[in-house]
Amino acid sequence: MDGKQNHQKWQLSRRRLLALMATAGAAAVAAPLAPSLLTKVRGASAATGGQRQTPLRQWAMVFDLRKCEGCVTTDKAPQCVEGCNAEHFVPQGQEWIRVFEVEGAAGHNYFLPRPCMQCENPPCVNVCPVGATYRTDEGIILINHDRCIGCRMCMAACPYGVRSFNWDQPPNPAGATFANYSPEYPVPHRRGTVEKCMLCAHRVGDGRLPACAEACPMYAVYLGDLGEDIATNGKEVVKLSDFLAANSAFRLKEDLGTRPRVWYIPGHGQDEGHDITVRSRPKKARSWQEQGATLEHKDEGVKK
Amino acid sequence: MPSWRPWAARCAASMAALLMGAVPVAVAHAADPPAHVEAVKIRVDLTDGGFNGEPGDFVLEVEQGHVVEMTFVWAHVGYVEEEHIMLLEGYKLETEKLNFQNREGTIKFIADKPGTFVFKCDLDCDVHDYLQRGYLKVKRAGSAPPPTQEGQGTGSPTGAAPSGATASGSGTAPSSGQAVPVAGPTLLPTKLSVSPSSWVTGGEPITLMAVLTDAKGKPVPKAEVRFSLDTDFAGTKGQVALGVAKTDGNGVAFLDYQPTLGARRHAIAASFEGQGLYDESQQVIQVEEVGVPPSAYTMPPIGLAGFRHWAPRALVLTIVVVWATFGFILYQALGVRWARARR
Repeated sequence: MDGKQNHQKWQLSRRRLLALMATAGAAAVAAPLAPSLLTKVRGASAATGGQRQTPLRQWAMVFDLRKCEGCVTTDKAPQCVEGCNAEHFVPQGQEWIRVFEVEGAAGHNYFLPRPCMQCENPPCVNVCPVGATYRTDEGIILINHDRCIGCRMCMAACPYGVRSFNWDQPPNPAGATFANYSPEYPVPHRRGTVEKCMLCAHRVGDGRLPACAEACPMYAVYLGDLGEDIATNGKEVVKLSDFLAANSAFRLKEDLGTRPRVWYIPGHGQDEGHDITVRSRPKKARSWQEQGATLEHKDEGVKK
Repeated sequence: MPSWRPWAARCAASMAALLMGAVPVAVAHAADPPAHVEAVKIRVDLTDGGFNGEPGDFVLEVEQGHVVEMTFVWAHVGYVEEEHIMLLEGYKLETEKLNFQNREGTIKFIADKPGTFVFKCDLDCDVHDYLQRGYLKVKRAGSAPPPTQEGQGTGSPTGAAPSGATASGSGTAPSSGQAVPVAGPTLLPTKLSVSPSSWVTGGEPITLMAVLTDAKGKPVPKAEVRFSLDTDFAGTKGQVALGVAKTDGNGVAFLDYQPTLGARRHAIAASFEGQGLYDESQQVIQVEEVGVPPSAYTMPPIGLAGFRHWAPRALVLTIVVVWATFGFILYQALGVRWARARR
């Protein structure tokens, strides 16, 4: 009798089994969510306590090609390139932002500035064998030159060809040896490593425009924040989503699925009086040495 | 016998005198007054609510002998398909057809006939009889001589009423009020009020309500109210357009706003540009963010990131199921063993 009762006690009914399974499933789902829930609770308490968190930026760039005329009407080299060269002491032979003269479908020519696209799905990051190139939470692709082994896999993977390799020791400005290197501002430059535009991470973090945007005399370069849905070229502030939608903005090689964070507004410099029938190549940009850039005056860059 | 020559000469002189005296009279009755004569300028706006927004009798007064220039301005906000040909009965004058494309029509004449004359739209209907009907009172000339010659009158260069013109026209005159001559367009004052006038938000969306009224508190319908946000981004200060909302029949416009700016305090400006008829008006409201507004952009997981998103959950679930099964089997086995042991 006792044995039978004991057996009934240990017997598991179907209902009980299902309840146990459901509890276990719920625990399994809730376990990975717990950290994020805790974060939310902490965020709410911080908000009510007056310690308000600043949301992360989601940086983006917009090039208004209606205003970009390759600086040919001003008879100068593209000022965005020169501004970048002076700001970052870009080694000669490299251009972190390059202005291409492109022939349109109607036989006209227009100019296309091409910085790093800061892709959301960056092939360069995915292929890097040592994790030297990475994407920040704010959407900027950086390179840690302390890690970079110079394999150039990222150069092969980048569909936009924005990366350059230092085959030799590039010249550095005076005092660069003692500069505090950081991936946001990679000075001094190093031999055997890969470099590229990094959206002037050191500037935008301080609430300033990238050097190319600041140098553009036509205000054709916009820095945007997708999170706040806002962008500026230093002259006007626009609502980014409306600005892109209203002007039929496009991205380069969208079909590759890289999701670039650089948009272009179609145009051929018409707002600045560029004559599409005149073939005029952009002038060669001056290097930082030719501009006389120094570390002390790096923030001055090229002024409008 | 007197000679016929002196008589003929007298007759000729009399005729000449008569003819010379008749010249001003002929000018005064001419359809087109001389260009050098300064006119009393009257502007009448044809609005949805009648002349100058005032339904009912609309009376203008001028003094006999003045040159009057009446300008009718098509100023509809809602009824954009309205067309008018304005008639001035008694003087048998009319404007060309006024509509959305052709907004202004002017009739210029000498108010030589005293009396009260109707000016109205040529369309006969009750609404138009009520809304688009006015009266021009031409008062008999008083003691002051009308200025008919340039230099003789004392009219101001801006086209204000010449001296002696006790009566005048107006763009803003109430139906029975004194009219004031105007040189340019007269804009009706408006008042814009936005609610809430300030609010504290934790990032949640809010509906902004703007109420647009004229100087008398009447709602202004179908008016565009623009909302913009004062910002300071990357060292650039400016205004970002949030959207445009149209007022309804009660003069109320709504706009849904989702805060996205990280700044703790910012200002939203609502403005009405007047649309050529009304004066501009604006109101600024203050917003204080205490919470973190949601990001306007959500990046969907891509490739490995997507896998990383659901893979840990799937792994944990699998482990739990395996261990639960194992535990259940163990539980059953132990139960059997213990049951046998007790026997």
